[in-house]
Amino acid sequence: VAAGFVDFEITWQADVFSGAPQASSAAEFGTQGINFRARKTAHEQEWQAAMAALTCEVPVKPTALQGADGLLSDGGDKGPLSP
Amino acid sequence: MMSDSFLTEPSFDLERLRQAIQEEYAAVARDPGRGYHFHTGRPLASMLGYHDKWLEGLPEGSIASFAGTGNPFRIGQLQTGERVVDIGSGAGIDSLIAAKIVGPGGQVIGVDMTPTMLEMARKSARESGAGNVEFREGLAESLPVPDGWADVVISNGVLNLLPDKLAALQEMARVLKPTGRLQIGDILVRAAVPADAKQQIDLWTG
Repeated sequence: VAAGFVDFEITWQADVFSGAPQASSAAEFGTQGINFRARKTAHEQEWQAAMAALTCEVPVKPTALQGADGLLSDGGDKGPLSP
Repeated sequence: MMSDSFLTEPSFDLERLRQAIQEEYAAVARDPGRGYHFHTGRPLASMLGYHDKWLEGLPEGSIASFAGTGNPFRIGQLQTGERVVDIGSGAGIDSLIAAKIVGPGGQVIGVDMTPTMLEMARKSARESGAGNVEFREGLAESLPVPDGWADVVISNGVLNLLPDKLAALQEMARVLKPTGRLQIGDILVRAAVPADAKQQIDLWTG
């Protein structure tokens, strides 16, 4: 969405690395081949609407660099902090 | 959960990575049968669902160097007369297939940063008589294509090689017409990639 696309969809995925002539680390990371599609928005308003509909935010800078490593390294999203 | 490794950028020089990628895929072009840590050629094309009729008339050298990870043509039908940009066109197999599908009224621009691959792709276009495809040297992050030129952007196994994927996607959006389609074959990883692994260039190039 940040790049100007909507209707993102992965249409296919499969292991495309197993059996390759040389050993690969692909399996170690669960690597799969995929096909995906998306559509460029028709106009600025559609893009703005798609941006507004996002339910999460990506930090402008890595949070670890903002002194909040603890948010990243323990048990995950715990919701709002209690007073 | 977001992890530190998700946010870790590779510390090596971008030019060094590009050089390594060029060397890897130039080697594939020169010696496709050597044996790599990915599949290549006609067996790979068959595995990914490329129809034999798409490959008819394409030079064997171009097919042998194929190293995609998906199949952009199974995602949506290209239409006669459409304009297509193929990012990371390599030896040219996807560009040449697209050129066959869109026909003489359509146009295809393949973009690649590796001179060896561009040379091979241009030779393959001449040999297959494709007059509606051209290959341009360039980077995915700064495509040599005008704004709003394309109906469809395709790519196959390239986006994963780029550290700045957002920049590449923004370029794809720039060259597409409004409502233009993105049809991409690539990879995803299901396990978190450790920060130290992200510093290994050979993991990027493969």
